[in-house]
Amino acid sequence: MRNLIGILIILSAMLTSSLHAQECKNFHKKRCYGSDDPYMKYNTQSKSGMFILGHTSDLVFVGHAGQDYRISLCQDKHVEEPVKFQVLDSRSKDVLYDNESDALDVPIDEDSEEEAGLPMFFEFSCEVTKKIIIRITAPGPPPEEGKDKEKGRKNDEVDPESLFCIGVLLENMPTSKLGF
Amino acid sequence: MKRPCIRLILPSVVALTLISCGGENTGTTETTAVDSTMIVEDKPEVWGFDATGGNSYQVPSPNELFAIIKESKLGYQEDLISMAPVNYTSSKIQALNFGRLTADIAYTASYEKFQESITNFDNLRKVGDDLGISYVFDEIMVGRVKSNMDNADSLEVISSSSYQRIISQLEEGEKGSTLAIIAAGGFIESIYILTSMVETYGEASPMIQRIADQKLVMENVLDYLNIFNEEPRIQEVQQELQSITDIYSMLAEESISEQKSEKGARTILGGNRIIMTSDEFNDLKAATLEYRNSFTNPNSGQ
Repeated sequence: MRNLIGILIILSAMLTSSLHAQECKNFHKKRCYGSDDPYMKYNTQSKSGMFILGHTSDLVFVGHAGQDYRISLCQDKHVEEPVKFQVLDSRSKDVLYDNESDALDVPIDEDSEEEAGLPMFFEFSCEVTKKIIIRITAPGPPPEEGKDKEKGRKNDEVDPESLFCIGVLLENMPTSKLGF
Repeated sequence: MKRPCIRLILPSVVALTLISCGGENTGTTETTAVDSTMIVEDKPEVWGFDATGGNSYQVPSPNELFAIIKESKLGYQEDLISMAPVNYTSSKIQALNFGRLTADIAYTASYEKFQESITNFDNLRKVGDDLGISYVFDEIMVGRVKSNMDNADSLEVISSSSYQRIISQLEEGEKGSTLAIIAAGGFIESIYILTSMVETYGEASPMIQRIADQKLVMENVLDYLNIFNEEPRIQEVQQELQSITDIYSMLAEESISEQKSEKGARTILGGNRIIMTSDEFNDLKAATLEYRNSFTNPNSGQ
């Protein structure tokens, strides 16, 4: 009987994790706030991914010359800290944008969607066609050694509660020409 | 390729594990039998942007490219794309042609060609059925396409939204390796159409620059394919693309502006320009045509 309960618990945890992963696939479409500009269109290079605390992953996309782009991020609300993200040039690896550095210029608004004042979007114009890396780091430190063991989990089993979803919504429109 | 793997505990857990891993059917000749010996004990790196753990390499949709090309005011070319009924047997050829047809529809829709778009949408559904992904075409989408195809304003929008929906459905169905081949097929067809639209090479031609810029898209296509490089059909596509990737890899790049600058409130990202010579253009055009014809007409002996 004890074995049966154990199996059911494992099955339940796996099913929950699998369903969460499935729900995450198009998270960016449901939860990310895009541009107010009606000319900005959804870009199919948008993507969502499952993250674990402290994990970093790159989304590499191509921005065409003569187009304006907006990158908007969103995350599961049960994660208290904001997502950190950087935009890098894929060739030089130069950091073109860092939302932690940019946060210094953004006043903290208690009613804002942007938790702790970290900007969750970046807008730019592409003068040349560029391959761009969006580097996302999930908030928080990696899981502590031995903490899961205390909860009865083995080292290679991830606590489903530490998994959460991050969405990256990309939008683009032709760059408007300045002047006459 | 790193696969999410789960420790073998009990037969019932194994069954659920195999379902949740979501291995796709890649055709009878290319599918590897799954048995308990394949369950490798490894760290389950299922997080990140890619289902296999790690980074994700995105490929712009053909719709995005042709919407930009439309602005170049180059005319539509008759007889450039095929609208013949399709019947392909291997999953690799089916996926390549699925990608080809998405690019063809993006091209005809951007030039408001109704009949061509609807014929190839039917062809796309046929290849989708053969590929075992008919579920990506739900009745609402099919009805919307058929009833709006004569509306010039909505043709491009519907083509684009149909593509988005198909990609989303395939991602939800964890058809990663099929999607990678579809992206490769769409990429090749896009290059085929673009190179065919150029009548004479011009070093300063915006169209030549767009074709050269596709070097960056090609890199992402290759990185995307590489995620699944343990599959024989992926290895075949990588090998077949070699003649085209060799040409693109040789293209020189020059720095023409600052990586980042500000113009008023606007952030401008600059950097390198990719250069394509006349010879490189001609080589690319020939190599693309040859490969494109090899999977469009696999029985023609080309």
